[in-house]
Amino acid sequence: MTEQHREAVILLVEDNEGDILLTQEALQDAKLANKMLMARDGDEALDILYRRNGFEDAERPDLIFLDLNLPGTDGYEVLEIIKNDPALKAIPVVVLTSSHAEDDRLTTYEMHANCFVSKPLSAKTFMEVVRQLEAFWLQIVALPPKRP
Amino acid sequence: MGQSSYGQLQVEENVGARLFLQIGSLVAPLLLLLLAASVLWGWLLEDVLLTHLAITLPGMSTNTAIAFSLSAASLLVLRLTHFRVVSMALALLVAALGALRASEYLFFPDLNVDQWIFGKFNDAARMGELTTVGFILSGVAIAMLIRRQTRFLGVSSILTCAFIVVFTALMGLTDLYFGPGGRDGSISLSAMSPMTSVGFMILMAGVLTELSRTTVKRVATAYDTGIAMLVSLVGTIATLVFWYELERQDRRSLDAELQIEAHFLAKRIGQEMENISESLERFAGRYVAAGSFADTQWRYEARTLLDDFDDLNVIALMDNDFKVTRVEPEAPYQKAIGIGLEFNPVRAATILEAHSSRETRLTSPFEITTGATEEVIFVPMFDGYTFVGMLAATADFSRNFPNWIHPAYAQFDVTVSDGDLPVMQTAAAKGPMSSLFVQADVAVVNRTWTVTLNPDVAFVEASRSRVRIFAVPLGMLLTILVALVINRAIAVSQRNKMLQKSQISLRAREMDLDFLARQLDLVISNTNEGILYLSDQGRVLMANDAATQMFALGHNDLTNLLFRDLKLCDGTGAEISLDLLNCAKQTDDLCVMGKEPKRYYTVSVSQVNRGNAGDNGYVVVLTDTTRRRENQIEREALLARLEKSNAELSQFAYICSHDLQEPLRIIGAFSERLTRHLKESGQLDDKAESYLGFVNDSAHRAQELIRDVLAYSRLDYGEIQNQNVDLNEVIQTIARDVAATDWGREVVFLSDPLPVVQVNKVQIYQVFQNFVGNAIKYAKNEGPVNIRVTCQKQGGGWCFSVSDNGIGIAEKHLTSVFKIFKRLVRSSERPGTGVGLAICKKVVDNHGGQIWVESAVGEGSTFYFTLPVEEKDRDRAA
Repeated sequence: MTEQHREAVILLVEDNEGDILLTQEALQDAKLANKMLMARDGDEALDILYRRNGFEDAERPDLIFLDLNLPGTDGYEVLEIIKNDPALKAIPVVVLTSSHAEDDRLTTYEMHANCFVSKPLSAKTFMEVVRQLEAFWLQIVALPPKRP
Repeated sequence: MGQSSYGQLQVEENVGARLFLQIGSLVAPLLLLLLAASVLWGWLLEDVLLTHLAITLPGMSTNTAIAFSLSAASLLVLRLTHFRVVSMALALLVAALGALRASEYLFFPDLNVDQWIFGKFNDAARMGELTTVGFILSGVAIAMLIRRQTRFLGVSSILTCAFIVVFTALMGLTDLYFGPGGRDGSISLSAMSPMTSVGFMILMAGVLTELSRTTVKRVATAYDTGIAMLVSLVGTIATLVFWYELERQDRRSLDAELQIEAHFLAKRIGQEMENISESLERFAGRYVAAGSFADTQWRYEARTLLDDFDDLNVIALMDNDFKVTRVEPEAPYQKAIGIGLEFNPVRAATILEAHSSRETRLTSPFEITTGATEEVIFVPMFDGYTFVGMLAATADFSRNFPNWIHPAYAQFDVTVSDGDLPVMQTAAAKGPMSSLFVQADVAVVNRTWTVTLNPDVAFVEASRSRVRIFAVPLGMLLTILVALVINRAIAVSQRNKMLQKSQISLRAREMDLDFLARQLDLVISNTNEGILYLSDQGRVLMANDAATQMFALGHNDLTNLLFRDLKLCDGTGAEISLDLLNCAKQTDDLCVMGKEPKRYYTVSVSQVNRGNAGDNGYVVVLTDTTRRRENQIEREALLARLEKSNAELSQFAYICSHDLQEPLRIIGAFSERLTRHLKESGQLDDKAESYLGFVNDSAHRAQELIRDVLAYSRLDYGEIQNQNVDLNEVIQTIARDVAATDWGREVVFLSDPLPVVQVNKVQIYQVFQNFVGNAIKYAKNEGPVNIRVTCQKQGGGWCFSVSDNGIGIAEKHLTSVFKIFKRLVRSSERPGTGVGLAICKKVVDNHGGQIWVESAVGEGSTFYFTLPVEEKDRDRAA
């Protein structure tokens, strides 16, 4: 259980400022010791993951919250790159999207997304979901060992 | 070129050839008529130029001219009128004239019927033998032409006749130059006058053109014509060669016969002269022995001598001064008494020669004292070496010729001549003389006389063999027969060949038909449609398997039933009555319903019209359309559902545009109100302000999204209302709007002159507006914005481009930018819904064009689209 006490790094890939705020607040409320990285589009997310374009010092995230509809490089592309890169594919990716479409669900799972979550409409539920997701992935699940 | 009956060629219509035949068949008889008339006119005027061309050539006889006139008249009547009987009568008359004359040659050499008719012209009336053959064949050919012989044999017979006539005419001509003998005028009767030859050729030209003119569609092939020509040519040549051979033989035997006669005559003359000179010498001996004769003794001796030789005319006594002292008989020779050497040099020379040689001598003919031309025998008288005088005598043997010559040869003119000078002549021949002369020489005393026999025509003709005379007509007849047989054989073989060919093709066609029939049978019996073939009365003649199943009857049961009595059998076995005779005769559809569950059939009746009334009938096709009907009902239900769903969609669009906008507007309005209220009451902390900001922004964004999505979806509805749009006006409007807005920076907007195109004006405006709007929205943060619109003609349409110097698009997004909702930059940086370019793409798609973008990040983008429309005339558009 020593692992639980270490600071987890979460990468949130999300372009909607409102959702960002909600997620941030939910995670803050959880009072879990973790660090949050923000990427507002797919390219930025990939920059952080590959530590480039001004993100050379970025930490490797333990968990990724990925929105699908992103300007420029979208969530699907980001997911495809992560899951096809041996260095990155161990990182669990939680698809967090406003889409309810079955197609999206199937596609993302086929692309080895670790779970698919539709954004609930109400803020309360949304924040609850985020908290539960964090608890599940950071407390219940044993994540792969930390890599440098 | 069709397969016409046995080898006859169908000559293709040829205007030139037709005209030639029309004119030729008219001109030829007219020419012939002219020729014949000029010859007849020549005989009337006794103009040799008109009748003979040259005096050395045989002339055209009046008979020939008359026959030519009749032939020409026959052809003209045939050509110009409908009186075929007249034409036929004339043609037969021509043949009859020829035949009559030919029969004269053959059987009645002296009938001379033509001379009775054309007595005035005498010899001129007689046509030659070849000419008679020519007219017989011409008459026959014209008669056959009048009978309109179109069958192969008829045509080839006419052709053969015509060719024989032409060749005969040619042969007749050559006979003039290469004829047998040629020295015998009587035999050259067979030679044809050049004018007659020409006449026959003109006549045959008329016959052949008329034949071609009237049977132009069915004239024998050139091949058949060639065969006819070849056979006629060979036959004619063979006949004439045979004829010439006979002629030559005739002539040889006649020559030999006459030669014998001539020699016989010459011998008699010679013998007689010998006798006379011997008697004269004996007389002279007696005179010398007696020393002198008293008058009475002289008269007695002389008389005795004259009585012994009835061909002796006169005896004279000359003294030793060569003077005539006595003549017996005195009348009419007494004038000779007293003449001496000076009387005639010829006489003097002979006398002197007789004196010097002391032998009997004969003079050549000279004029004696009576005025007659005589030849005189001089017998010199010597007593020892003393010349005592001379005896002279003249003789005329012609009186005795009839006695010497065989009565059978009495028709000769006999001429005895001494060199060129005639000694004596007889005129025993009757009628016209032939040109045959046979000569024999005879030694008379010291001179040589020539005896010439010249028989008359009748004799020469009588001596000709009958075979020869028969040769020409028989040869020609044989030629025609051979030609007919050959032509017949060709016709039969061609017919057989054609028959064989057609049999082979018939067999092949039979096999084809068999194959087709089997295929057709297979198709008809395996088709799902019920097919019935009905007679005129509506009885079933034939039905396929599907039909028998529909009526639940066997083939045999179905056949011969009346169609209106048939009952359709549906799937459940229930039967339905039909009265299909009420169907339209032409194809007509009709639904027939059975009991539940209903089955539907389409019945199509088409009339079969095969020309003959008995062959008419109907083809009935029954199609089970139950399934189709079910499908149709399903389709209709689906369509109804679709229409309903479309209506709901429109409803949805309405809801979106109004009902959904409404709450969003309220959210926006009240979030603003709440913000102001909290701010005024001092309760607005940072968090609340940011929350309310999200509310407000989201509401506006939702409104924008709804508006854009509506705009996008509206593009799908309704027809494109195309109109002539001057794109320059569109660009000017946009440019005005751009200029009217303060962008906080310089915006340079340039455009090429643009065409007038037929498009939806509102949509095309949207396209340009979106491009221009994007150019400004996605400009770099610094510097002026450059927008340029260009246009190029491309194929059948136009290619437009809108380029900017904005931030550009990464290469991997060049296609995805046209997807709806796709954005490349965050809304927080450059607001937008991601619908604009999707609208552009849809508009261009709707107009049948293409859209794409070329770009380089940081340098700018160029959007291209094509419109496959023709430019409208600017003036008319204006």
